[in-house]
Amino acid sequence: MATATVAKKKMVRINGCVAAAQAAKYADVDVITAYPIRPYTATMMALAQMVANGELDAEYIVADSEHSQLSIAHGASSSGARVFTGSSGVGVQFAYELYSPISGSRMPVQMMIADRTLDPPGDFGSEHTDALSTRDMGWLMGWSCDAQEAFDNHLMAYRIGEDPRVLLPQMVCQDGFFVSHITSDVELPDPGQVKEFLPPYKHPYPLDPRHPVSHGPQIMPEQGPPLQLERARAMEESMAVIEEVHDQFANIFGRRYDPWVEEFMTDDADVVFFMQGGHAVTARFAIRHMRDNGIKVGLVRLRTIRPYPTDRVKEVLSKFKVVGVIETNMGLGSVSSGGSLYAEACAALYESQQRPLVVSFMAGMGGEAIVLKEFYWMTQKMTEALKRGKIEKRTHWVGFEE
Amino acid sequence: MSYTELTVWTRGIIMDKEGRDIVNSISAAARLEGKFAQAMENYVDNPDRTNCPTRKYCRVSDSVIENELTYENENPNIVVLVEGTMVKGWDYMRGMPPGGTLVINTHYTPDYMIRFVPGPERLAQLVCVDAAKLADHKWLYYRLGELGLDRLSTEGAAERNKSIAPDIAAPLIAAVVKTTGIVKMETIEPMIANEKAFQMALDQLHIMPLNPVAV
Amino acid sequence: MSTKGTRIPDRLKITFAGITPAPSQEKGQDLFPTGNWRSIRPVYRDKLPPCNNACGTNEKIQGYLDLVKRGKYLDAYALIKEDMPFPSVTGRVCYHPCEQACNRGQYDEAISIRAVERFLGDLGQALKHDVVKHGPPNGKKVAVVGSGPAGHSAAYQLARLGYEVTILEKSPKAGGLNRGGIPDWVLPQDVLDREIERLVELGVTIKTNVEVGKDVSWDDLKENYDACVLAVGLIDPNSVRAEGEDKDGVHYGLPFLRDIGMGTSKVKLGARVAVIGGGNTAIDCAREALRQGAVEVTMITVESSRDEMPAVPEDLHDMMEEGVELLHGRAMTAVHGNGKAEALQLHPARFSGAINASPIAIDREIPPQRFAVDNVIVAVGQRASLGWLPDEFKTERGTIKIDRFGRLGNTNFFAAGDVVQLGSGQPLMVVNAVGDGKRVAFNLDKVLRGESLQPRTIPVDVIFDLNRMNMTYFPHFPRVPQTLLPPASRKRTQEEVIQAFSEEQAVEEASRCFSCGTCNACDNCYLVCPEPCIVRGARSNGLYKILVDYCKGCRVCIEECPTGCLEGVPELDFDSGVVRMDTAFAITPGLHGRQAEELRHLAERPAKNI
Repeated sequence: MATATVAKKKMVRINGCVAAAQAAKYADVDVITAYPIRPYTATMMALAQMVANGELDAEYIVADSEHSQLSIAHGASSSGARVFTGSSGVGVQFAYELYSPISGSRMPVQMMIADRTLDPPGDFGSEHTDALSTRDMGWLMGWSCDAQEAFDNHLMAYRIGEDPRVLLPQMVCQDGFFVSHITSDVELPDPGQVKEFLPPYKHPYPLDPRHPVSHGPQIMPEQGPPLQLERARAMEESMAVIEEVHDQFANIFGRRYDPWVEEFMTDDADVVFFMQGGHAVTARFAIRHMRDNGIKVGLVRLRTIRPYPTDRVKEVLSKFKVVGVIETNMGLGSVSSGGSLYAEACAALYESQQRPLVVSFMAGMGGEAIVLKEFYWMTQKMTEALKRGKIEKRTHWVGFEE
Repeated sequence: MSYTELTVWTRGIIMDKEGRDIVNSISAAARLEGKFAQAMENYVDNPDRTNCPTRKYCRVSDSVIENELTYENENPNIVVLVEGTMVKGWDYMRGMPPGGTLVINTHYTPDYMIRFVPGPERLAQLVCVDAAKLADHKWLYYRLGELGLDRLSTEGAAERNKSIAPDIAAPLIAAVVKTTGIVKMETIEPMIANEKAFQMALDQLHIMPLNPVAV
Repeated sequence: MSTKGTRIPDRLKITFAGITPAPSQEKGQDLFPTGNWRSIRPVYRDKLPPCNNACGTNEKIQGYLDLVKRGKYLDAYALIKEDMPFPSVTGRVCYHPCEQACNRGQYDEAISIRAVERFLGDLGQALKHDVVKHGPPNGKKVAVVGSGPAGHSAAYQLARLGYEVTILEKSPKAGGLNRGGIPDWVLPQDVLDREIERLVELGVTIKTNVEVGKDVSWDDLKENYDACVLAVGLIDPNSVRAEGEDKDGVHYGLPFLRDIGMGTSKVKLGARVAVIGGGNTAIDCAREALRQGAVEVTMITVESSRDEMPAVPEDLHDMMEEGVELLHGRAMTAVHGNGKAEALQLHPARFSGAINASPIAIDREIPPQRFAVDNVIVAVGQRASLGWLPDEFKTERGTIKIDRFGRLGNTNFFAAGDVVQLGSGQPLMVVNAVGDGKRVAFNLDKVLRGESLQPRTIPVDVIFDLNRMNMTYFPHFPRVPQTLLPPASRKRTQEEVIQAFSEEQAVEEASRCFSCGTCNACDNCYLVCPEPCIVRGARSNGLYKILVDYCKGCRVCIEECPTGCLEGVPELDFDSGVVRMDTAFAITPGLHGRQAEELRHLAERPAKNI
């Protein structure tokens, strides 16, 4: 029910951090918990200003650490408030203790993560390891590649996470600097549309003195398996909801996103990049140039990593002959001795009848930009592997090899 | 110019907004003229420190900008120093292709300032403008540059003053636009809050022509 | 293995696990030289303290107070001796313009500088050998006519420069006004004797009872010496041109004091004595009269109030304590008596214009006052006795004609002291004569060596505004007083009225010195610098170095410098100090590689001594 005084949708030029803050405002969150760490601080400041000048009516709590930040978020969500929080880098890890309790107690807290490389030493540049290190804790998780997508993902995440069939917390991630601090065009919707899309948050059993319940009492070991089973079931069943919500979003706002993977120039591609996050923007330019030169290369961008769309990934990647997984994260001692995405892609492809060659590339580490030349180099490695019929090695360190 | 890079060097917290205003207004004007433009702050400069050097970048192009997701301007054609003393500090000329422009906010003249510029053979012109005086800013060089229009060190996220170039950025923008033509004067002028300083600057630039580049 | 075959290019070389060598005092930390953050640079610029500036001979007062504070008495004494030959004299007699100028006076009370100088002078007198030596002989001979303050000072400096100096003194004892114008209860004879002894130890020959114009002529001086300094002073007393001034019992100020000082006085004072005059000589005469047996002493001045009197206020105050009466606004117009003074005739009088610098207007309409006396001492100033001087060198005022360097025309004759300072505006005081003698000695030296004479440099930036310093660091402390003998008893003796400082008192008083505008190594800047980028060199007297590569120009050191010697200068005024870094985030190329190398050799370095 859009009223006449409400603003219409408008085009603004903002960065990913501010886009996330705007999304929180449009979602009319109730509680914001904050603790400063760059690059996420820009979101924190933007929200603070909105609350201060009355644009957003929310409780704004600055915690004394990320651990407290998530703890307060947990409490607020338990009482029925729509909560927004966020962090970066080592801050994400400082709050680690809270991730399992929040998802296990089915609290749909939303966390905005602007990626930052983990220490040592201090490095602001973006690596996905901060969020990825929590990927098995039961939160919905996915990466945006620009500010518009970040805004949209935040809205969709609330809708998905708060759906009574799901009730899971969400991490909406974006690359620090590349998405969080570079401005681009964002269409902010008509608030009426948002109201239509996102109903108010309602937890079935909130902490309410009028209807008292207990959250998180001690259990015996035999109650463990059923609890874990239910958590796994929630995560699996969220997949259907995710697809539904993306459809609804397209119908209301006019922007359609594939919930799982986004393909770019893959029609007759022999080799593809498989990646997530902001470097996809540069990848697209590189691919266009290479296509102009007759190289059949494409891009498959993973939009949701939790729940992992195993079947979809298997289906899509099996179309190609070589898959180059671009890892902007560290998986020290992992299966590929490189990052974490390789193993998951390979596992998804295990049952495929047509398994492509899979190789991984350590690129954009420490937040370094991946320049066009590097995409050409990676493509060359993949085409060589294609010719050879086998990969040279599981992981290439881009920029440190001939 | 089909692709131009502009780098602004400014000082953290006390002059951060001025730097941002320069790149934001020029890129916005370029977009209004139908060009592709990008404006961003340097990420690694850790700007939350008073007086520390920070950089802002702007790219203007007739065709789509492909190196959007990179941290810095590798080859700045135009360099602006928002505070005069910065001329002694860094290799702001690094990567400048021949025919570049250097604009400095200072009351000293170009013949004095040229001695501090490293590798001036790449410069087509050195421009000095006394922005602090033109904007009638109560800023004494002998104090820590009491600008403080936006002392929040939030990289612009929570700017108090919403207007563009209410202070010393206005003469600097006038200097850049007049001496390089990166955007048209009529596009950018309406955006500038400090009209008076902008107009005065157009007549009170000290331009020292150096090594012009044959087009 | 994924890392097989990978190679890190040189420009990206890093240290083990990002560990870097520690920063050091000398180099800072070799990482992020933050010098280019600043737009103003702190610079140590010593200003001229007002005491040094006000002193007639520009003693380095701030310097020796600092040395006394630190217990370095001998060094302090040596520092005074650069400009002042007899600190034990000035430590007793000086009118201390330094104390009037002392900035501490604006804050609580001025430093008792004269007392500290006396402490050091007396200490110097106790040394077996003085700290100054005769300079390497240059074979030239100089005559100094007069052994008063100016002559003594000129002879002293010339001897240090290597000249063979002979002083020609017309009185039987050397010392000039020090001997014959300053009473013993201010400057005891033995203290002065010791100073004159020191001059002789320095290699100066003193010939007493030699008068120029009688025993030695102008031409003698010209022929026998390479140069000559005329420091003959103002010998002849002025008269008030009163009727009967020539009667017995009428004495003149300076001769009265001089004869007592030389030990040749035959004056016997009656009970009632009048002193005509309002200056320092008059005061000394009045107080001396009490000690010579007078019971009632009255000082009669033309000045209409105490404030107008040109005397040093403390001395005036001490005189009043001793019971001398003051009678203002009168002139003596006649002395009545039968061959001997019995009464004075006084008329009301005032200066017709500027005080002490204009003719006296006497109101003879009003019937005069009769004032009974036994003696009257007329102390209204002196004039020079220059019969022996060629006329071309005489001025209308009755002084010697000199150029601004103290030189008589193009000759090798120079003049210094009261004989040239009369009417110049400079008070006729010992310290001014000493300064004059010193400067003339240096000018003479330049002339004999064929160098051109330079005009005296204008004082650079004398600091007298407390706002240029930081008073937070100076708690209020009162001035340490010198004890005085009780007035009732002291007027019967020739004992020194003002007592000396003890060592503790001298140090306490010297510690109150602000060290205006001059670095005294207080370490404040070193302690407050947030970087920290101030390095202490040799600790004594302020050798600090600001590491220009790191200083961010935060100005804390400038604000917190108690003495105000640190100033902020715009960085662009300096051609130097370009801290060129490659990028804003400041890692110079190859730095990490260098650090990696340094780190590898860390084990070879000896452990730090902590």
